[in-house]
Amino acid sequence: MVQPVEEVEKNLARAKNGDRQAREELLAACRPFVARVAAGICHRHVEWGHDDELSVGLIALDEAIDRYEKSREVPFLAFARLIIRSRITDYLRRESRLAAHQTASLEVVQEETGVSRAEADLAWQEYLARETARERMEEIQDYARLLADFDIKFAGLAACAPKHRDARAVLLHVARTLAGDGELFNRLMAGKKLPIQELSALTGVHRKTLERGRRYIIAMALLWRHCREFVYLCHYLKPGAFKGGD
Amino acid sequence: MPAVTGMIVEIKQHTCIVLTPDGDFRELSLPAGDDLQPGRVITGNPPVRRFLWQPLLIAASVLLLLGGGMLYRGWMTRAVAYISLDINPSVEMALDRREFVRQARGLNNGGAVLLNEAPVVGVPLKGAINSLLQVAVREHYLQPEAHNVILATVTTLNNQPSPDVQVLQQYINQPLQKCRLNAEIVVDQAMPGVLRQAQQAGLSAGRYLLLQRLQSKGVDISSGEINREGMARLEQEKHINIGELMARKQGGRGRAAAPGEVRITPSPEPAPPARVKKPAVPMQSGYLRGDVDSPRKVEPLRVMKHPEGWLNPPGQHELRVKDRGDDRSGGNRGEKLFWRRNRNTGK
Repeated sequence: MVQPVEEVEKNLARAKNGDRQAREELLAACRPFVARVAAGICHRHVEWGHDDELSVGLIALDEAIDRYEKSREVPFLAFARLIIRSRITDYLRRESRLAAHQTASLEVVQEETGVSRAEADLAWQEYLARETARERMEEIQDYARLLADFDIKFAGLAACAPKHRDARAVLLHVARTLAGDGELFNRLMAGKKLPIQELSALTGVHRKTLERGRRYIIAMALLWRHCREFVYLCHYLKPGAFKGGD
Repeated sequence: MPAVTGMIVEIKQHTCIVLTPDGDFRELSLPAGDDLQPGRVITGNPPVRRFLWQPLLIAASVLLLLGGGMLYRGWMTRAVAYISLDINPSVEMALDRREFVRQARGLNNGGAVLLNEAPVVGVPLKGAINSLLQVAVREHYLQPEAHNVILATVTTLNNQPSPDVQVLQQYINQPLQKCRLNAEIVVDQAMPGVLRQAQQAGLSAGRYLLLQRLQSKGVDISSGEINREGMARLEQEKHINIGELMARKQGGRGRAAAPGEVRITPSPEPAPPARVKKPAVPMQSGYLRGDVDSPRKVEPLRVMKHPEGWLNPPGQHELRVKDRGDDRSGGNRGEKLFWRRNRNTGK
């Protein structure tokens, strides 16, 4: 089940304030996220209880909770993904005992090269900015590819997206309902066709309205459903769009 | 329009698509900067759609020129006069303002043969008549040793400029002179109404006028026969003179040449120019018809010799001749001239 981004952010705020319960809940909720990131680095299936990479990743997530700063305007999950990747990479290098002096870990650089803490922080800032820009661009490219499966382009969305706030809120509500309903969403993915009749019955929105906003609903439902992959986009949308849709 | 802030999701040549925080996709003008890439958050304005006056004006000008050109072409190429040429073949040609042939049709089999051999559409009138007569000679419709009669009839539509009768006769004369042919050329004018009636009857305007005059004279002839026979043969068979008949004007416009007046005789020397009777002055109510040079030179005797008299254009007065013993009107040989209103029109 998809955990809404704002739930993660809420638990994160409480965890940073010292709420152990919230921290545990957040770590538990993000275990699939950690597993997906670890599997991406290791290029294989990883399993809790068998693979140390997952433990390293979970520790890195815990570290990310402590180090995260909202002022950087980077989504927490994107930030956590960077930390997890960094730590797992360090672990793998140590384990293989290869190129220990060329480690990409900033901490290791600090330890082995003896650079100052300030330099390390500066390097980390640059690294974070560079990596977030790259990840954001890749994320948008992935999103464009996903939309292309439904024959939707950004230019088309700019043309058909409702300009009125209320009309947009109605379609965002429909998109969120579609993303939250596993069966309807699976039908959408299988047939590449919006289940208009069911959505109309479920949301009470007239089918003509759904037909007119078909592309927009699909685009936003895909974004919402895959919000863990499209963390930058979802994070950017979060305050105005998804909350407004409720 | 207020500035919009959003994350770039697509970059185009001059614009970009952004995703705004409230879930809207907007197209913005691309701001200045080298580091623009998808994912970057920018603030910008929607592109200003400039109304392209220049292409619109060019398109309007082109349309205006095309439309004006088409209108001018339509005006120039509209038929303003019809000329029918009757030998035995009958051909009817529609002329535009520049006296170019716009349409041509054969009114009998011979006419179709002439037009088949000499396509005249798009050709000036002079060239068209030249081609038609050359084909007529080649096809033996006009023969050197035979009696040839050519009847040409001009119909002008709606007071448009019409081909000059004298010029038309010259057009006919010239190819005949080249071929050294004897031919009696009779040129007449017909009103548009006559042309319409002739077209309905499937005849040329000249043949239709001839038919009317023959029938009024009591000659037994059908429209099929007059369409079938050549002019010269009609003269021989019906013992008539077409030039004389056509001189009895119904419309009062133009003047047919008298028999023998237009006769081109082949000779070793260059043939003298054909003597052509000038067109008559249009009939004025109360005046007898005269020549162009001397409008007052009336021909009362010639008119009075016809027992039926002759009619003026419909709606005008008609001149009647009655044989009476007294001489109060000043007429000769006891005949009296008087005017009265036309019975047919009741005016």
